[in-house]
Formats: sequence, structure tokens, C-alpha cells
Amino acid sequence: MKRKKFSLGIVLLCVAVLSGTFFGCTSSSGQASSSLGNVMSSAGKQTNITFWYSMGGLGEKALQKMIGDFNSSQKNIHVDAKYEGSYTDAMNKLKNSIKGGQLPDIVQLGDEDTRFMMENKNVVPIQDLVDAEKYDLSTLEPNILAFYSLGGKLYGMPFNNSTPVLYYNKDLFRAAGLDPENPPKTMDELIADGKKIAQKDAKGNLKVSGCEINNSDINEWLFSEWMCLQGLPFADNGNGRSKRSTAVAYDKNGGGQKILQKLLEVQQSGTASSAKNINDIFGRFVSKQSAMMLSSSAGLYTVLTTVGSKFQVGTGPMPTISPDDKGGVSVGGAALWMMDTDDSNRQKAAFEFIKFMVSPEEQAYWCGQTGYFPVTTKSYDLPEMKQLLSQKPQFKTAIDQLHKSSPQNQGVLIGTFPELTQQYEDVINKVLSGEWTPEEGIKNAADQANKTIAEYNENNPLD
Amino acid sequence: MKHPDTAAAAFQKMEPYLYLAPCLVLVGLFVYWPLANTLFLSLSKTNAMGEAVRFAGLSNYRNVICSGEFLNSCIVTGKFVLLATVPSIVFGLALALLTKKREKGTRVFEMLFSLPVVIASASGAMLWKLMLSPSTGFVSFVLGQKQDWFTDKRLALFTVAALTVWLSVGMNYIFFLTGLRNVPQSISQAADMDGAGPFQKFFYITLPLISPTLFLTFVMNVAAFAQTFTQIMILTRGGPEQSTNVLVYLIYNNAFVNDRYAVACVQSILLFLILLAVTVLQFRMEKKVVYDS
Repeated sequence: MKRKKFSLGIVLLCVAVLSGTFFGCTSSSGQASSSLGNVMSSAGKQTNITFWYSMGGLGEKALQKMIGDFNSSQKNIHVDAKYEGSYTDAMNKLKNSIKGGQLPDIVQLGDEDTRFMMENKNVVPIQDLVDAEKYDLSTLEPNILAFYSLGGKLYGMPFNNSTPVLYYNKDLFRAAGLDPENPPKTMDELIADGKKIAQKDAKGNLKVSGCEINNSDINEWLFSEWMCLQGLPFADNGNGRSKRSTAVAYDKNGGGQKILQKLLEVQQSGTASSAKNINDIFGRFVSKQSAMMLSSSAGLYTVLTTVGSKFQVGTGPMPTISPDDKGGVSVGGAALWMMDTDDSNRQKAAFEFIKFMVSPEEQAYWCGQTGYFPVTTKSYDLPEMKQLLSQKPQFKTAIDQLHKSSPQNQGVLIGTFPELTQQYEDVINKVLSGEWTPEEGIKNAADQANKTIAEYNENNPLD
Repeated sequence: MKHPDTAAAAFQKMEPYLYLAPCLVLVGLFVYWPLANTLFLSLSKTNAMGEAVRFAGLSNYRNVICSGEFLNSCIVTGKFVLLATVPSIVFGLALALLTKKREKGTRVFEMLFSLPVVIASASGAMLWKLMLSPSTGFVSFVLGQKQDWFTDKRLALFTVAALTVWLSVGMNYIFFLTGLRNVPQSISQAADMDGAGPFQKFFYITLPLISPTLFLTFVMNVAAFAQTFTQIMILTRGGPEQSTNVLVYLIYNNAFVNDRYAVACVQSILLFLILLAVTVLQFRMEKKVVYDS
């Protein structure tokens, strides 16, 4: 009898623990269920919306402040912000939540996912809410709007956008007899300047390098930017904007080969070290082991903060492949996407938050704390923005570069961009090591890319 | 002979299954259902969301096996397992032999040698990444020359293997220490009296007696190292030109970065089959290699 009671007790304990685990699982996902949200908003209380972001480091601090300001500035809407790791991690979590049902209200995703999000049925295009409230989009930067629009319809709201810039060490330039106010404007000038600056030690190893051009974190992005600078499309069908791309175009229009050729010339000049990722390259630049760094303007605040007073940092536009390139740069970065939670109250609340985040004051603050340029032109009228630009003119470079470009220069929209990035990694390494010529490199890259694109189009029909 | 109390009899029959039920549910949900789902997806073509679009039969398998990347990953994984297992076992055994006798101060060394085991592989990887950074790393400063530990395609795998050995030696060390201490004193004393030298003692007495431990450690190490992921993810992300693209990283990359779920599922099933075959081989070997007292 005792044994039976004991056994029964154990079984009940197991069942209780198990069910507790499962209920814990569902509630620990940390999102207010939509029914609860409905009840709250209909009773006139707070609407809770969830926001997934992927900013880290100093950017995250600034973002947290902006979110906190929004939450404390009014009582109707509360934003629950969650750090989701990298854009890839956030995208994977989003896909799972699409299958599982608990969508976030707003998610920040990188430019490489733009096409996928535009085609996804669970996304609410920003244009829908813009039309419903007759929101004035004319004050937003036309180039950035152009990137995130298809057929005149804005899908994602640009939030943190950047262009590639050339960071350079003015002190090292001066020491090498170069004009510190005149950074190289073309790749040939970059190689020439690099040759003057580069120093070798007694063993013949590179002590101070000119500029690294193999950065595994942004190689493909730089490649696509150089295509835009040459005014040539990366892929067919209007860079994936008039219709879905079916193949890449950088092999047929010769632009790709020119890029690889120039990169090979930098490598062969012996002025680039073997640092291959953003951490090592950044480390070299801030420790004066490298005079120039090609990177996103979004890192400007971090660069200035890390360098401090060690040396003077200058920024210049991205060097072109050849002196008569007539194109412009495309924006990189990320946008805020609204998910279809089937609750119009929460969508309206989410749009309120989005409007706040792209308001002139918030964008001016955001620019100063990161280096991302403001997505709204009205920020430039604000005194804090004028002060920032006069005290730290390095911030102007990315903005000027953006304004010199046109909406036609905007980058490629393709669903398989992440995979193409990986294929390109192998290609650029094999070309720089001499294993492939630039011609072979482009042919290989294009063959692989076209196969990938064809398979993607076959398995992901647009209905 | 029927038990008079039939309710109690029914309960007694069901009882074991009731205890098993929670565990079965968990294992079913987290191991068997995903396995079945993976098998199903590996036989279909998937879209970018990971959903099956149409049936594809074995064509996925043919594509994967013939693809260069799968073969490369098998070779890289094989190399890595060898580079990590052999030093782990050799160093683990050497350290255990050194601290076998329970003398004064042995306790301190026991703790020191087994300490790296408790370091999470992610933290360990980050530590090594910072230490070995060519521009700002401590190791580069001490050695006076810059070496591309993680970005040179000839070195990267060795560096990651070295880190893995450092992290896992402690585990092997603990197993070997226990095994060595279980060798009966009487046998080694008898060998001493017969005039056996230290090498003879080691190869003819110690090694056979700890062979069950050795075998177990070997099987565990191979299975664990074949599934390394964290270090690769943090340090090299598949490495300079796929030189550290081990199987598990390849699967992760295909599924979550390239959205190729079907390919990743095929590779998962193939990895499972490979590990199964290796383990069966190992246990076949057991009878020949392990001394059964």
C-alpha cells in the first residue's frame, strides 16, 4: 500500500514538473500574447509592442536611450525591445515565429534581407500605414527611400543607414609627405599613397600598411558598392527591382572583373597586410599599423571614440575603380519592418514608434552616436546637427556621398544575397592568392551565383 | 495465477510506462520527431522558410554526395578529429601518469590540469581569439612576430584543434587518473619484484589494464570532436577558404545562413550515418584491443 502511494506520488510529481516546463516555455517567450494586447488596448490602457533589434556596442546604448525616451514620453504605448544577436539570428528567429505564430511587431533587419522581406506575406508594407495616415515621406532622403521601395511602394522604414567610406590617419599621411586633406579618390591613387606610407621592418615584413582590401565581413558589400559606383548593375532585371533577378550581370558588363583586377593590384603592391576581418583591420587602424581603412560610415563614432587623441582621423568618399566612374553609392544598413500581427491597434502603435524613431531629433541624436546618417533631411535644420557637422566634419563625408548619388544607383535586391556573399569569399581569396585570375574568379562567381539564384527562384515561387 | 486485486494489477503493469512517459515525451519531441522531420525534409525540395515544396526523392542525396563541399567537410572533420583526439589522449594520459601517486601537492595539480574543462568553449574561443589577434594580441607581442593564426588556410585548423585539445584534456585526464589509480598495487609490485623496468611495466601492465578506459575515452572523444561547432563559429566561420568547414558548421551554414534547408537535412542524416558507422567499427575493434580481465 505504501509502495503504491509512493509510486503514484512520483508519477504525479513528474506530470506536474512536465506541464510546468511547458507552460513556462510558452510564457517565457517574453511577448505579450495578442489577445492580452487586445483587451488592454480596448480598455484604453497601454498597448504593448515588441521590437527586435540587432545593434550591439555603442549603437545599442544609443538605441536603448531612444526607446526609453519614447516609452517615457507617452503613456499609451510601451515598447518591449529585445536584442536578437546578428541580423542572421534575428532572421532565423523571425522565420520560426512566422511558423509558430508569435510575431514581433517590429523587427530590424539588414539590407541583404530586403528582397526576402518584400516578398514575404507576413510583412505589412510601411506604405500601407503611410497612406492610411497620409504621412509625409517627402522629408526622407530619396536615395534611401528608393532602396527600400519597389514599384513606388515603401516596404521597410529605413532606420540605420550608411555608406562605405575611407577612414584615414592624417598624421601618417603628413609623415609620408601626402596632403592630409586630400584622401585618394580612386583605387590607383590609393595604391600610390599606400606605397608612400607602407613601411617594412628589418625582416621585410609589413609594419605599417596602406589599406587592407580583404575584409571578410564586408567584402561582398564593397563589391556591390563598387558596381554601383561604376554605374553598372549587379544583377539583371534592373538589379532585381523591375522584376526578380534571374542571373547576375556583373560578369557580362565587365564591372566585376575590373573590381577584382584592382583588388589584385592592391595585393600585388605589397601595401596591404594579411588582416582579414573587421576586428583585426580595425585593430590595425586604431593602433597606427595601417593608414587607411575601407569600412562602413556606421563605425565612425566608435572609431573616433577608440582613437581619441592618438591621431587625427579623416574620412573620404569610397575610392572609385577608375577615374571616370559616373555612378554613386548605394545605402547599406538596416530598416524597420512591420509584421502582420492581425491587430490594427498594435500596427498603429508600431507605426507611432517608427515615426518617432525617424523623427529629425531622434535621427540627429542617432547620427552623432554612431555615424549612420539621418534618414530625414529635416535633421540638418536642427542646431545639434549643425554643431556636430562643424565640430566633427568627418560625419559629413557619408552624407555628401549619399547626396551625390541618385536613386538610380541603389543596390541590388536579391533573395539569395547571404549565400552569394559566401561564394564571393572563396572567389576573392583565390584571386588575391593568385590561384585564379580575375577573369576566372568572375566566371566562377557568376556560375555559382546563377545556379543559386535559379534554384531559389524555382523553390520559392512568387504566386 | 490472477492477482485478486485487478485494479492494482493493471496499475502495476502500467507503472513502468508511467515513469517512462515524461522522458519519452521529451525525447520524442526533441529527438525523434526532429529526426523524422529531418528525414522528410531531406527527401523534398524546400523554400526559404524551410517548408517542403515538393517531393524530390533521393536527388538531394545525389547532389550533396557529389558536391565538393560535402567531401571537403568530411575530410576537414576527419583531419580535425585526428588532430584533436590524439593529443588529447596522449597529453591526458601523460598528465595522469605524472600525478598518479598521491603525494603532497598532487591535489593542486589535479585541479590545475582538469580546470580547462569547466571553461565554456565559447568563452575559451573568445579568449584565444583575443590572445592570438595578429595586431593586438598578447601572443603576437610575446613572440615578436605576427602570425595569422586563424586567417592562414594552412594554420587555421591546427589552431582551432589546439584550442580544442586545451579545453578537453582535462576530461580525459580525469578518466585516465581514475583508471590508473584502479590498477591494483599488487600487480605492479609483483612486476617490480620480477625486475620489470618502467617502460615494460607501462606497456605490458598499465596499458592493458586501463584499456577499457582508453577505449571509452577514444570513442567519446571521436564522437564529440566530430560534432565541434562553437569554436568554428566564433573563430573562423568555416575558415579561410573552407579549411575549417567541419560538418556541423556546414550544416548550420546551409540551413540558417543560406536557407538551404533540404541540403542541410541531407547532410545531417549523412553525418548521423557516418558517426553510426564509425561507432560500430570502434565497438567491433573493442574485442581485439581491450584487455578483458
